[in-house]
Amino acid sequence: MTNKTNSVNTHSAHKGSGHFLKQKFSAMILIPIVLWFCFSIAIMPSMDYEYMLLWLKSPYNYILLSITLITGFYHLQLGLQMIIEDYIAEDNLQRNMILMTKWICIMLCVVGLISLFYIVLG
Amino acid sequence: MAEFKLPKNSTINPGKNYSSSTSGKKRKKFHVYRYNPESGENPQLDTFDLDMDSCGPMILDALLKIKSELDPSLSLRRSCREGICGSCAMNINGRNVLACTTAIDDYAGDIHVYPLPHQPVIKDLVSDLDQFYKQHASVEPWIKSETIPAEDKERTQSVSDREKLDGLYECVMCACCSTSCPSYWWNSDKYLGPAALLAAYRWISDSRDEATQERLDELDDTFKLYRCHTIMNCTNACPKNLNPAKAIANIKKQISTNKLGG
Ligand code: SF4
Ligand code: SF4
Ligand code: FES
Repeated sequence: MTNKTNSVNTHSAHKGSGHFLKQKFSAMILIPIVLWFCFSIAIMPSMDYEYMLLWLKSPYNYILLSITLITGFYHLQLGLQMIIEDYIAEDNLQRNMILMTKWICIMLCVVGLISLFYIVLG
Repeated sequence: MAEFKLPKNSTINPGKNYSSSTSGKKRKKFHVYRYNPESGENPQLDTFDLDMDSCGPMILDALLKIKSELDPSLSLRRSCREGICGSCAMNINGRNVLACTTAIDDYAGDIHVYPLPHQPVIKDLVSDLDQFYKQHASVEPWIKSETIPAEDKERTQSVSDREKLDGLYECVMCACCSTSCPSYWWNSDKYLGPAALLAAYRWISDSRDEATQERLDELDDTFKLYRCHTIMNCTNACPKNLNPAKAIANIKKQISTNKLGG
């Protein structure tokens, strides 16, 4: 039915466990932090700009939100890498796509952190 | 690239209809995948209307009845007819099973018989398992030991160490698991698949084997091992009720524990 080359992968890159562990650790950090985030939003008495600003200006919230952004995008990048490895077989394309998603995630994360910084400062 | 559609020369055309001449009251229709590479034609689905009063209880019985009474050119693998040789693995109504241990009465309506999914087909229900066997060999499924046992003595193993191999050594290499695994479908050139990994874990767990670390190092690879995303189709499919997904999770755990210095 398929026309795959009949070769067996006998070479081990001696990596794989690294990605696996990073994924588990970032997921472990994300569980409490996402719960905190949802909970904070849920118990907010009002959603207006003034109140949100006040909330963000608390150093406690500001730091936790930054951690959410960093871990979230890190975890997203690891997941995207896995999907690309699954479905894109061609080596060069696979490598480039992974690189591209990595940079997009870094960029979005940095944009998020800078915006947060400006909001809190401004 | 992962393939989501059958290639043009693999799409299945309607085939011929056959009917048992004996006219028993209980009848059942079998739609069977047929492919003959020498004909140059696409695969087709033949329908066999069988008299169940003169047929054995298992799917394999029905296929052999077809072969001996209606169409001797039907090709399939079988040997033991009791679930121990692993050769009659095929896809029945969407699930990978052993035809010899699967009862016809377990299916209410018509029965659809296909070869194992996503493997090259040699003829009809016979798929090419070359890659599958090579992968099995690549995990070096034999004892590796530097220590030489005392003369005229066996390599002994405690009862509890022996028990660690239960659920691992019984694999009959039917390939029901690997060919039900989406990760194996997309990446069978690089991913070893559940059957080979179960075999690897069987040796990793063997107290008499002295190459545990070497075996684990060999498996620490993005593609060989970590294409498994714990979808569990393998465990679901295994006709011997083994749990390759758990074995794979244990390999990952053992590698991680080593890495973290535990
Ligand atoms: S658990 Fe792993 S090996 Fe089993 S079907 Fe899922 S991906 Fe494949
Ligand atoms: S683990 Fe089960 S399904 Fe897989 S090859 Fe062995 S017996 Fe067959
Ligand atoms: S004939 Fe041996 S397992 Fe079915």
